[in-house]
Amino acid sequence: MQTLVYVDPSPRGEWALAMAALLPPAWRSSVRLVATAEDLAAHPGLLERARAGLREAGSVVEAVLPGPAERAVVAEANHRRYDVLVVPPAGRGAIARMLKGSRVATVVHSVRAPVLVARRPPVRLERVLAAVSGGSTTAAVVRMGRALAEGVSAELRFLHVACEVALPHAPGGHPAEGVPSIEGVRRILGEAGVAPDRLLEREGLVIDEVLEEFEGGAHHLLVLGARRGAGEAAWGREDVTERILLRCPGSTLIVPGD
Amino acid sequence: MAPSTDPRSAHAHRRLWRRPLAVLVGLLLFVLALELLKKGAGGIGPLLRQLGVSGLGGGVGVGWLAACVLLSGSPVAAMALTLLAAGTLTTEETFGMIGGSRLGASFVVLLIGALDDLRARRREKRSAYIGVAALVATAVVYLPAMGLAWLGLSRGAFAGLRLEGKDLAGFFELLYGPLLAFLAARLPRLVLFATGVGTLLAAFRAFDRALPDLEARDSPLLDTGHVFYRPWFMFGVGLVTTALTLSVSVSLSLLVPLAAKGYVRRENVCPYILGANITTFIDTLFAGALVGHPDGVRVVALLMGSVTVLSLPAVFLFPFAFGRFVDRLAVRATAGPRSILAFLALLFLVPLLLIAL
Repeated sequence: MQTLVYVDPSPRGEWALAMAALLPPAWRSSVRLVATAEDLAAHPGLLERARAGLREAGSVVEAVLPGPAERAVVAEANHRRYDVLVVPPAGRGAIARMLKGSRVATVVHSVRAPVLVARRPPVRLERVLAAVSGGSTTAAVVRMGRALAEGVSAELRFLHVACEVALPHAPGGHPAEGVPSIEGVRRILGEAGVAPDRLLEREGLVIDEVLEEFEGGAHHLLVLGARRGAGEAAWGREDVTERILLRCPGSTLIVPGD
Repeated sequence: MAPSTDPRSAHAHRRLWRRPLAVLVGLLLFVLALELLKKGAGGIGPLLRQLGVSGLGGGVGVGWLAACVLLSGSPVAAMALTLLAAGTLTTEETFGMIGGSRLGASFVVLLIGALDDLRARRREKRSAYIGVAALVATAVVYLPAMGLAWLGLSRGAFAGLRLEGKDLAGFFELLYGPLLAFLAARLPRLVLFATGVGTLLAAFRAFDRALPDLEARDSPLLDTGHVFYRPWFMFGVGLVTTALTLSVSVSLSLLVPLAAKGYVRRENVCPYILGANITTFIDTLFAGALVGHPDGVRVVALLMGSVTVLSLPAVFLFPFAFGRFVDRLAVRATAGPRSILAFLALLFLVPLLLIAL
């Protein structure tokens, strides 16, 4: 598997290296460290230190591209095929994010590969939570979550949040194919051979319930799906994945839909 | 060539005329109702005093209860203005009654939702949720908004505001004068007032008939069941929908065909209600202009302005915290049949208490 790790000179850069080191061995078999020319000029030993942090990885190669960070990562990710990108957040505050945008959200929206946003890495990845809606991204989230959890022998649980409220005199019937629902989640998990007791069902506001379960269950990683083109042509629509990604206190793996 | 006799085309032609006709009938009935209410208002005064309705609290209580009984807030607000014009209610009591009518208006959504849950034996995703959410979101904004508007009213804000309806009043005097004189001479004032209430409800029914038939559409106008919209977007949808329907309860029930399967995401509910709560005042503002009392428009404009000012931060600054607060309360209130009954009881007890105090 090909993994890209963005090397950030800030303390958050250590989070990305530590999370990359916690990935399953197969995911670390081929790693490309990416740094910006500007960062390298300011911190000449940056890539050597990063390489030292990934001693147990297979082959490690380096790439230096012109900044800013999100442009370098997106250019590299679109130039070669990667199975996962590991990126730390830029640590921008609300106002800076309003002016410059979010680095990780820009990367997630601009690449086709799964993106692991590294935050506060644990000593070992022991508990993984995958949030599933039953929609178009669920199968990919289940696949990726299982591959990761099995690769590091972590406990994997799935969470579905029912956020719909019925309206009086609503027409009956079941949701159409592809429409997010608990039935869709159960079907996809069943097809993947996941035991029914691995699924947690909650009712409420999606973002709050997912984050509460993540923190309450002391999970180390959250796996989420991202619809293709969620960042574009979405006038008036909220990007739930982005909101969870920006508020989650731990690491988040964003998986694009099939 | 023979003229087209396609029955679908004839039906479409009839439907094209039906809506403007319904609006016209609704307007004529609305004005007639206001006149009947004004003529009969003297009859309701002693009844209100016997019930102990006086002051701001009494106004809020009676407006709230009347909206629960009539299953709509807009007719109650219009009634309050006619009572003001007839001198039956003071400006303070009218202000309270209009504010109270908005709080009681959520009752219909809650009642229908609770009955629907009972009928469908629903244990989760309860329909009653939307009624509680509507009431909580309304109360959280309206109570401080009423305080703000009251401050404005007592300090003389908008004192010069007038929306003159003299020309219209002259026309309607010509149109309804003989009928009103005939009825006023033969009917007791209390019956005249009751006839006005019935006519007002008929006017709102006529306005409802002018709405497009969203149920008949193959696809939903807005995919509220599956899409998480930004708060400002749903706020805008609530504003526009209620500007057309004039009623929060009607615009909330309109969400049924707006959503694909009759489901709406919790995240979309609050900003929609906040938007709906503002434009529901449009018909009351119109009534304020028609009743001819100098404080009529002013009271409504102050309430509408305060509600708008206090709704904007909840939509643009902290929409998710506000939504979370409303959701938590609504979830607790609809946790089971007992909590729903307790909430329904509270809806009646609070206004009764306000009247009694």
